[in-house]
Amino acid sequence: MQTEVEILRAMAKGDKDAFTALFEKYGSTVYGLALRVTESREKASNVTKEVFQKLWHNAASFDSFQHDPFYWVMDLAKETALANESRSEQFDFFAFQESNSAGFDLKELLSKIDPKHRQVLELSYFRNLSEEEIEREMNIPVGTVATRLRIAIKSLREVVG
Amino acid sequence: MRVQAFITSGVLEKYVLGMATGEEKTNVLEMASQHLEIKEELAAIRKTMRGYIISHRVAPPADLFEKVKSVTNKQSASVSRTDAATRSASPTVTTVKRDHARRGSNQLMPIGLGLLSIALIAVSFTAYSFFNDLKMVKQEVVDAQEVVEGLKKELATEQTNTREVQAKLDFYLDPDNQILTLKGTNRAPQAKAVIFWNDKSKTCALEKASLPKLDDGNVAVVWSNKPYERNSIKLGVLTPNAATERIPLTYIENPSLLYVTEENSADVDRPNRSKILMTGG
Repeated sequence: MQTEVEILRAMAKGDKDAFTALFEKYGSTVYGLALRVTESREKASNVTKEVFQKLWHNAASFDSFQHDPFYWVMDLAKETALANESRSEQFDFFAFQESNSAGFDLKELLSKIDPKHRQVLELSYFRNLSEEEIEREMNIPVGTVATRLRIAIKSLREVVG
Repeated sequence: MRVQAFITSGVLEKYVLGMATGEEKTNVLEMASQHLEIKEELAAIRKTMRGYIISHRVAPPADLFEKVKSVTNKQSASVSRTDAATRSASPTVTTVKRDHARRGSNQLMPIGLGLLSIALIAVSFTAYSFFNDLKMVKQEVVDAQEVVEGLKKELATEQTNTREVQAKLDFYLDPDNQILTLKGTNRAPQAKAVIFWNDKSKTCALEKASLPKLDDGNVAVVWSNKPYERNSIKLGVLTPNAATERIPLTYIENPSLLYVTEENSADVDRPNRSKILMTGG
């Protein structure tokens, strides 16, 4: 079984099977992330397509010394999704969320985090807001942002490991 | 105590989420290179965030993969589309021919109906011809897009190469670079490498001139010791088949000794002193 690094290296050489393997490995995570950010199934599909298109064309720029393959792909997915960001009152992300095989489901996972800590994590990760922007959005002191972020991740860690 | 305070400050979480300022990033990298606890904490945060991101997985629409995959085989996909279009167009012609034959065999068919059939045939052929033209135009657009994508890819590669050459040139021309030579030990007398050390920009990199053959799966790890400190600090990892000749290393203040060991994993925390390949400083 190929590692993610081997898959990206093979893709850089034009290996179509490696492309399929990468989609199998990351397709649902990229789509889920895009859906969470764009709150639109159509946009999430377009973002996923764009992300894998970029990965196919830019696999050669992946440097295993500098990048973690998972974060390299997810950063690209987040960046592309944020460029298509939208908000929808009617959209319920959880309705589309599959029960996954990693041993924990998202609702269960998020129930372990205090909502105000969770909000900081979500604003930071899914909306890419800076500490100062979160401070303004939530009307809390800037030092509290880092504290809440730490507590949120600590709570997650108890479940995820 | 200082390390614990650093860990609980929240700066490591900010670093992993990309929220840290430039100064905070430098602090995190420096502290991580000096304290194993911080390095482990960073790895744990990354692992947790990975789990958090993965838990947002949603099965994509069933047809999405085919759409996504078209990027890898536009040519063959285009050809298939043309074949399919030709196949789907053919029955229309056959049907028209069949109608025409039936009309010919029935001598009592009213003339008006005959004319209507001829008109239908004419319309069908016109439509067929129009759609064929449309398909040809579409095919040309697909081909043009493919050429553009190819050129974009070539441009991206060229830009990457140019950046690498420029970076290399800047590196060589930098008067603040100190050059240190690592020479092979008895274990690997042919081994040789050069380390560029820049105290001003607080960067360093290794350029491998000659690396001995390592056992399968093994890597070479660069270590350093600071004066009066017993524990070695890992500066970087060299893989035998790395594409680049120059490997960026973690910068530390005042190293007293630099050396390279052969290790069976890039994740080792302590050097295998029985397998020292090169030393210098």
